[in-house]
Amino acid sequence: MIKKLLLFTVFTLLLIQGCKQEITVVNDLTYTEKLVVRALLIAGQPIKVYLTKTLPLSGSYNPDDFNVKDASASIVNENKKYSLTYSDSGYYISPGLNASNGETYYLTTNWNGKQSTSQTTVPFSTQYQNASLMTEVNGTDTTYFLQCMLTPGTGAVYGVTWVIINADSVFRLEDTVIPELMREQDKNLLNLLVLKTRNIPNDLITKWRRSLFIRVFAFDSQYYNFFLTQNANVATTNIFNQSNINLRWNVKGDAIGMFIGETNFIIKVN
Amino acid sequence: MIFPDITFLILRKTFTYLFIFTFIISSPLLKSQSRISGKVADSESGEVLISATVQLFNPNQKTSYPIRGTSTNIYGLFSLPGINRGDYLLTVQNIGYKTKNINIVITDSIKNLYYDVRLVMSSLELNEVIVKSKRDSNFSISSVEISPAFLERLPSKGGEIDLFGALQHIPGVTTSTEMSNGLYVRGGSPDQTLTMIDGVVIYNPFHLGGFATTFNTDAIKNIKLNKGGFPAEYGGRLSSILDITLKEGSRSKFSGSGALGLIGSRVNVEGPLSDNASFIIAGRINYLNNVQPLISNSEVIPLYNFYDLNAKFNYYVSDFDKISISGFISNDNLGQSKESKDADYNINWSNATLSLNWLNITSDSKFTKLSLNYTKYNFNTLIQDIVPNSFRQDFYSNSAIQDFTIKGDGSYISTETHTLKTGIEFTFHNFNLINNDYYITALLSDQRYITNLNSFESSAYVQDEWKILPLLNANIGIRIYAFPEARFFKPEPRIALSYALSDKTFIKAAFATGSQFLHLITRNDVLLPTDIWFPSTSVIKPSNARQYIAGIETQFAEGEYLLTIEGYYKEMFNLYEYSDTATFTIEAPIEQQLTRGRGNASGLEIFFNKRTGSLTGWIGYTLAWTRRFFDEINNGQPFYPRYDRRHDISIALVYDLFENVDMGATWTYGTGQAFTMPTGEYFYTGVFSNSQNQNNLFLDYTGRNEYRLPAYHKLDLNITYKFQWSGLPFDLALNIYNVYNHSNPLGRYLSFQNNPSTNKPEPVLKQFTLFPMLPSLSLGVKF
Repeated sequence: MIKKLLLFTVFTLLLIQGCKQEITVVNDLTYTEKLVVRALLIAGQPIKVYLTKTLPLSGSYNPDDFNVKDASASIVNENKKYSLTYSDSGYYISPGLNASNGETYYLTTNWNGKQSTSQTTVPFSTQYQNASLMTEVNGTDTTYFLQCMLTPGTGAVYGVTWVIINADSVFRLEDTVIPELMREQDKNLLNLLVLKTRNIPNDLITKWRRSLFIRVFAFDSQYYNFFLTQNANVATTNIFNQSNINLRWNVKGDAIGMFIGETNFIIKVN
Repeated sequence: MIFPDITFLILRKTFTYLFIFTFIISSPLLKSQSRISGKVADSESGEVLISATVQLFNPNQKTSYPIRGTSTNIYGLFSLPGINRGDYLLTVQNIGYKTKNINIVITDSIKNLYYDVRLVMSSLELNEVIVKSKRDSNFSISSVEISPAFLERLPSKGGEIDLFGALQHIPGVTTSTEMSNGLYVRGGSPDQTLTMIDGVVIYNPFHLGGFATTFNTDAIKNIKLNKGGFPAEYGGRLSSILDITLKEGSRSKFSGSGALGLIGSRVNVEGPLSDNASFIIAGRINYLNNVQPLISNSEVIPLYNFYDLNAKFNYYVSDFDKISISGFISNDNLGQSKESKDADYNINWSNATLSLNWLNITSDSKFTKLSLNYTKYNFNTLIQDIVPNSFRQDFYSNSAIQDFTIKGDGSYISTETHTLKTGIEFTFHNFNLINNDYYITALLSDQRYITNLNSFESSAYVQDEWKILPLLNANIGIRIYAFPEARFFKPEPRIALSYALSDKTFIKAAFATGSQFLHLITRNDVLLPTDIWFPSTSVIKPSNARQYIAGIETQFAEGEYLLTIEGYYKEMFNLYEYSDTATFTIEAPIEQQLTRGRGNASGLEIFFNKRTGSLTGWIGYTLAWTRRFFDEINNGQPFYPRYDRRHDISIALVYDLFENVDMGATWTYGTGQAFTMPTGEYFYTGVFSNSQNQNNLFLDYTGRNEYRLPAYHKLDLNITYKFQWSGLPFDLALNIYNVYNHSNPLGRYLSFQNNPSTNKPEPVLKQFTLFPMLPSLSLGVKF
């Protein structure tokens, strides 16, 4: 039988050296204009709806370029319609309209023929068991975080952050990241949710051990899916990290965005 | 419980009925006519030849259409029952061999004639029928066989023969990226192609980047790709079957081959162990990871190495019994370049199989095969961020599978109008899965972190290749598929029809259903491989598909040209992907991160094949659509998978330029891949801030894969010069990959570069291309 005894590649160097080309190409991405809605309906606070828009990829815009000033928007609550008027910096308000616990609100927007609808319910506050400082020792490293347990309500999801308030009740420092959200189905055998903050820097613990608080956030449960996908559209230059998932907005129609009810309160750490 | 009693009872009854049916349908058909049977093998090595064409002619009308025809099966056997008294000319043909003619006289006293046909190799006939549609008996559809000898003459990357690269020139077969060798057949994902080597399932038969196919072509005897509508003897996958048969090893003399290269080497040894035993061992090793850093400091090109080893031992107990043991192992390692600025990743995968087979030729018309198979597969992905302040993308996954399979197959050529096949198969699967958003060594050892699943899969089939009328052939069968864990028990009917409009023209149609209980799940937000095979459970349903195929096939100019036109439509159900809200932590059960959808694929394929002469090869065109529908993905809107390709043109030609010079060329054109890209930007603030700053800049992606990359097209050339030196025949081959140096995109992405005038980062669209023009030279000597 005929066989090949020897075969060797001479120009393999060229094969390897020639690999990989990275070139800049003409931007042929098709721009689609969308209305962007952002409204956090925080219990006890005036309702403000922030309306902006998408712009073609450029990176050189001023913040004001995104603001939409000529949209029509209204909120319906308990069969009463509140028209929103443009205030400033992209905000639309209805004077005297505050968010209330347990209330459901319906938002309708219309801009350049693009219509959107959304709805949310502002969660009730909830019963909590306690809040405590937790310590984890891993070799020579010690980390600290806060933990609290609470009874979940229906239709709400929960998260916590650590807060430091000095003796004069003036806010000194507050974490700006909720590490995880928990749903009613995550409760333990005691029907309680166990919520944890991110780690607190050790130097803060040393200085402010007696001034620790935990802030509990309760959101309309629609916020959960957005929370899980919120980083998908972050601008990144990593070529291996191609976003291929959609943010789970709760605004429907010709717009993207969130219209979400929120309640929050703080608890002193024992 | 692995195997519920009620399912066992149903299975047992079903299989009993199938065997009774097989017996009943075959017995009354026995008639008192003569049978011509035999075995076809290589005259020198004794290696049996698969799919050799066997035809029976009226000796006075040699040029007419044959009276009867068949082809050898995977054991090299053929049988022509129901032959009446008379004089005949039996011709036996195979690629690269001289045609053998045998004069036969059938008299009343002759019931069975058996021939041990030995074909002699002939370089003069090497060009004939290099790629042929599986039309031996017109019982199947959408099936193509490729000769390993033909593969050697096609262009390749760096001189290494690439089986999957060649298959991707067949209409209906595409690839996802230039870096991937996965076969996407008629809109199906790679996991929907059942790849078997000597009947054993291989889960990941790919080496990276087309440097080589996992299968060492030195050890391959036959390659058969069935693109759809496959007969009942195959199952367990939705789209296609790639059936590879290894050589048995020469029974006459020891021989070998070897290759020594700068990035890889290989060796192949075969020969007799005794008068009744033979072996073949073929292995390769690639050490690109050691060479690349010496000559390139690319930050993108990964470090890569692999090895693979095929081995097969055969023992011929008698003329009618053969026992064989075959094994295969492979291991691939892919890591980031030391200069990488994007991610720290380490991805490796390995295959291992062991198979014990007993082939029994009960008579000249009955064959049985019993197999015990073991498969082990492991895929490991580790990705860690190395860029400060970048989006956290840490991910670790491990997908390990062990299969134990026992199966039996029987074939019975009962009469001139019926060839029956039946079989039964039981497979026990064990899965170990880890999916987490960080890596610690305890993940590998602590059973609390590992999802361990056991499952049992069984199937049985019966099929009949039935010559209903002189002009109408059919392959009718049914496969029973059972998967107790998902309470799944389903009959899968298969039918393929072929009607001869003339002795050169056939119209064909097929309908087939199929099920698949394994799901290959990959992350869609990461370009690096993150494969996990996940079995069906009580929550995750087996996928299933329905296929409809119709086509016409005709020959011109005494068979020199073959034209095939086929259309297909395929519906797929219970397809799974990660949902948009999937979390990758050990606390989150994997099956809860998946979402279910469906898909369909349709297309038209034209295949024009010149089969003889100094110029051989084919031109193929495919018009196709592939769609996916998931309620939880892309906001419920339909989307195209990345490998959806509207138009695809492939040309593969081999030309004998002079007596000692031949050349091969391939040209491919394909519509650009579907890709996800942003279309705009917006500011969005979260819970804590109303301020606008660069940290709140987001990109707006309109929908999954709505953007199209530019069209892909590439010309490859191979020129081989043959000469004698010191009495030995040498081949000097020049391969040129991507002859006109077209920048085919692997992908595009937005890069943010600082604009000095505004001092703001601005998005720039960049394109990443893997392989420019790559010439390579190789020298071979034959003995």
